[in-house]
Amino acid sequence: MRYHDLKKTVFSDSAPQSIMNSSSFKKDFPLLAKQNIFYLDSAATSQKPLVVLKQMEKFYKEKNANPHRGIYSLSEAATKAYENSREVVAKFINAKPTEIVFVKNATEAINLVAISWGKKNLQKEDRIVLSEMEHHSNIVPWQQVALETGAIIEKIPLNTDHSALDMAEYVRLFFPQRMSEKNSKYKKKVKIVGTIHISNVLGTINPINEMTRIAHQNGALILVDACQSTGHLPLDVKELDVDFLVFSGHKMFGPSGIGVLYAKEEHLKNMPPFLTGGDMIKTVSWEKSTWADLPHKFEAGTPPVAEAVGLAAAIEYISSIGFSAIHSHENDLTRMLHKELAAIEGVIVLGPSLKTARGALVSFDVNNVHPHDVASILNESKVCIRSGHQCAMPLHTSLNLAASCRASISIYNIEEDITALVAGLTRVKEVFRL
Amino acid sequence: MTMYAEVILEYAQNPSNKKALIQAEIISHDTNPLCGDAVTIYAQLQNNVVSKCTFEGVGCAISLAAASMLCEHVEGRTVAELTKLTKEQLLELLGIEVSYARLKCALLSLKTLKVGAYNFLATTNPQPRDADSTDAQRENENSSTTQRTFASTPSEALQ
Ligand SMILES: Cc1ncc(COP(=O)(O)O)c(C=O)c1O
Repeated sequence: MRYHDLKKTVFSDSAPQSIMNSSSFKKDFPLLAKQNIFYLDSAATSQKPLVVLKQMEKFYKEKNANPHRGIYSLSEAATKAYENSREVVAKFINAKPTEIVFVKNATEAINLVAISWGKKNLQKEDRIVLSEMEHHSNIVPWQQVALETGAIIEKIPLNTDHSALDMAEYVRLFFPQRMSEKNSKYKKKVKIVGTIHISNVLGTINPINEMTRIAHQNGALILVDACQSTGHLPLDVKELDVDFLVFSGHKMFGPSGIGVLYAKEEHLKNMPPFLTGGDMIKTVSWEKSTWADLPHKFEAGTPPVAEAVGLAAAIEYISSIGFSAIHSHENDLTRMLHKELAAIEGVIVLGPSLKTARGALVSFDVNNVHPHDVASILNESKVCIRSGHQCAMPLHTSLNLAASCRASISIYNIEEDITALVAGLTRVKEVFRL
Repeated sequence: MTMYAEVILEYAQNPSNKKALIQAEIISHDTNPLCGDAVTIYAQLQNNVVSKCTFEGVGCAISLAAASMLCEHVEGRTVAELTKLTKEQLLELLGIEVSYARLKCALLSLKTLKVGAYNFLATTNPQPRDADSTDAQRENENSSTTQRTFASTPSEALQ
């Protein structure tokens, strides 16, 4: 099922109730099977299914060696395991294996682009356009590059009800400040657009196709932070036509310590290396070094092999369930979550209304109670939510909030998790005599 | 065990000492940007003894209750005594088990008050530093916001 089809189904309340109540997926997750908790923080990191842990253990027990370095069979097995994982990731987002760079996490992937691509391509007064909903990981690296290159960051503002980006303002960012002075020094040159696919705070799904088309029409590239969409929605980088796409393995049932940078081959070819050292070279002499072919040019040092194997196992796990089953389960629970929270007096729900498609998370604020107090009291009844600025301080400033609470949904969640959250919030109000 | 004992909420929701004291000799402000907590502590002195201590601020219940209890606790103490207050004493005052993740909230006002006391001592009797004031220096350096926002006049502190 492609993204467009999902959009259509988002409005339906059709999924069978039985899915929501069953814990058919929960049993795949040893931590959840053992601990009696209500885990509603999968947007921060997901729990790991047994198949992922098993595959990683199997790698260490049967294939562990340094990949790309040994001539012996065991090293070859490790190399194969690592490169096979790259192929699995490539297929998952419809890319070529040479376009997949393994990194530590999404943050490192963005740093790679900002530093390698950015320092080479950004000049004084060039524009870096970022959405107002960005996670710090897609703001701070660009600020650093802007300091060095003299490029200027401009933001795509939120619309008036803070539920989506203001697309008219987005388009306007590409036009010269003074229309009459064509080709003058006032012409702004937007070189790159950076946007979050699904906001980790608002749950808004940004229109990547449209944003990409507009960026490309105006000669800019686009980087998409897909941290909150991978594993929830099918992604097709060819169809989206994005230049760069990043995500972290740990938010999609994979281990921590591995993330992915997808970049069009033409860009990777023209980018200088990011980190340098072993593995990323072809030849080294005291005078100079030459770089390995793509994508290894961007992977310095011994890579996270077991983590790559774990990520591939996570993708296989996702594929075995299928995106339509994942989506209908998560969508039903997210709708229920949204409705239940909105019905509590004194609770304000952030982000788009239920009329619009949204990611599998709902952020909220309890009037007159600090989000950390909310989360601490919920913790007393074993409900795990995120609280704080959620790594999006600029967004919270725009929302006029210091912090917020967030409950997020994954396939292992069940109705009971939401019921426990709602009961916990009732207790929060009692404790605070609200 | 709950962190939200009745007494904590009473202090957090109805703090009798939550107000500015413009005439205070010690005015110290600090923030905890990760939580969005901010506190200003005011201490009025008579012969280097705290005659009145109040606070202003925004934050979670734990940080507000800690600030209010701390202000109450330090009235009647010398400035030198303020600099010797410990984390353990503050946690004892609170009387609850503060989880690791919330320690920062609980300790913000203590840190703010101590920095204020050290700064007061440094400006009123700039003597060669003993071991304690070296600590103070370190504490001060670690808290860049305090350094930047520590006001030389009360009206600046209120801005
Ligand atoms: C939208 C978004 N972008 C980026 C990140 C950063 O991911 P990581 O910390 O794995 O690099 C996160 C998660 O924290 C996120 O939710």
